[in-house]
Amino acid sequence: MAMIEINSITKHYRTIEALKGVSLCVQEGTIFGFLGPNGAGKTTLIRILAHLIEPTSGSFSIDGKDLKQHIGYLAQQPAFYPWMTARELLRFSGKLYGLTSLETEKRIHELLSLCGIQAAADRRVGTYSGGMIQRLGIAQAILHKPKVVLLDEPASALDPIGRKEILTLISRLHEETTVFMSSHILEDIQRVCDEVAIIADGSIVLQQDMDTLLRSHAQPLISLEFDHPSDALLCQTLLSKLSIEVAREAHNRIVIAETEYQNRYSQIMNTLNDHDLRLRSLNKQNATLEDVFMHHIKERSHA
Amino acid sequence: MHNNIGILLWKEMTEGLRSYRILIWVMVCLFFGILSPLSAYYMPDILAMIGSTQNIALTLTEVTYRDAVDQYVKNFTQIGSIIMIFLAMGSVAGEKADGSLQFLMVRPISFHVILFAKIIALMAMVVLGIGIAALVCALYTQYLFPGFPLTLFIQSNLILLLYLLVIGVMTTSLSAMVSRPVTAGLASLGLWLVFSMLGSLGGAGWYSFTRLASEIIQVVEGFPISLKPFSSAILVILGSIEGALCVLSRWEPSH
Repeated sequence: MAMIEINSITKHYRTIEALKGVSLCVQEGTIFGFLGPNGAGKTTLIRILAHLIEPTSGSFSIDGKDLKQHIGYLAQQPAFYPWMTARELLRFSGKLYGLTSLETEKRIHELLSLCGIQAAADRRVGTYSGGMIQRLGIAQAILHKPKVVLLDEPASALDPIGRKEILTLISRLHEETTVFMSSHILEDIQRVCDEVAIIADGSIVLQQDMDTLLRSHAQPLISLEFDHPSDALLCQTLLSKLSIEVAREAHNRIVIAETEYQNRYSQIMNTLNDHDLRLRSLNKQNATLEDVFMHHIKERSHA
Repeated sequence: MHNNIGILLWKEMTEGLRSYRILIWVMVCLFFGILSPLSAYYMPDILAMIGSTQNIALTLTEVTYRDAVDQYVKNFTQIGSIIMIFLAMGSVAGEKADGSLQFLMVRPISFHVILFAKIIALMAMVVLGIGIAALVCALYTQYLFPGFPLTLFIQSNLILLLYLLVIGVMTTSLSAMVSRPVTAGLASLGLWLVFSMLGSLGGAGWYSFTRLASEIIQVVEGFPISLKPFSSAILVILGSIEGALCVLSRWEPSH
């Protein structure tokens, strides 16, 4: 069942066309990754869905309706009232959504523990670190059990530990709501999302579920690691002369597309033997979202 | 849509208390309430003392409760107005600037309710401050000056409340129209000065709400009052709120 339906949304800012007829469909219960380079239109679309800005044209619905009640939102740089404590902020939010005091208190208790801010619940938000603000942001976004949670770059401003914690938390949201999350960090999207859409220059480049996307678009690679960087360089030069596409991934490592490796296996091995190039390791690298992303963004910029 | 005005009022009042905005206002009001009758009462002595050091003989008329009330009204309509502008200029623009207004915008709540909660909270703060100032001023004036008309003084404070409310609503509304508190403060100060200049004129000047200041004195003296400045005050309040809602409903956060 479609939880979010976006139909031909455009957004113009004077001379800038931030969104050019974006259409998307997000199924219920998915963690949907919305990927794109900076300035592609990710935040603009999320703000439209959160009712913060109006689209120039087009429409959208959340569970068939257009109600704020069904949406939880976490901004890219969340700003809460610094003079409130986390518990007060959540209580305030619950009352604004029309929850009863009993429901609110029960939910606050659950969420403080889920988001790991129980110990700081009665501290003023102004004293929180970036990671704690983000966790509180997720708590306030899901407090009223919305049908959709919109997360705008939820982990991009955090350190690796904070990022890991937030991503773990997001993957747990799966059980209770549909998550629509934007990011330019490909690793984050690949880690938690079931489905992904790539936006570039205000247009959707592709939308697909993560597994199919990686299988169909990403090319597995074979990595050849040498003992000496000079061997890697020589091998790259020799294989290039044979018109084999080779990329240098590290000072002593080169990568070749798996299909190329299989088709030209004997030629590659002969080259290594003839020049006494000693391999330290040979590995197959799984396809990453980065490959797909780079491929599509490059393709678009060439077009 | 739920009835959120109560919870928003809680938010505004708690913020007012924790940011010391209410405390500052109450202290200012208390200060004016005490200072006005005392300065009027001791002014002849102060002037005589200054005159004696300069070898100047000063002849002063007898001070009465009118001087105390006059001082009280001047303090509030001049310095009090500036303080009111200072306290209200960030009420919406501050939340726009720091991004916290978005917290309310994504929830099922209208701009009408947000703005009205701010105005009601401001009104409550003004009533509290003026209540304290009037009480203290009345006690001192009654003690220091004979024949002080207490009932009329209480009535005149209602006009003072209206005067400060116009300033507060005008500043809050301007704060909703612009993106920075300083801009709202300067715009409100400018408008207040324009109304003050208009009020100093003859005929048309009666339609400036700043003329309410002279009506306060009229009430204390027991003289009839003109309704023209009241109509101006109501128009400024309604026009400000309408303008603020119009601008706010089209506002889109830029960050």
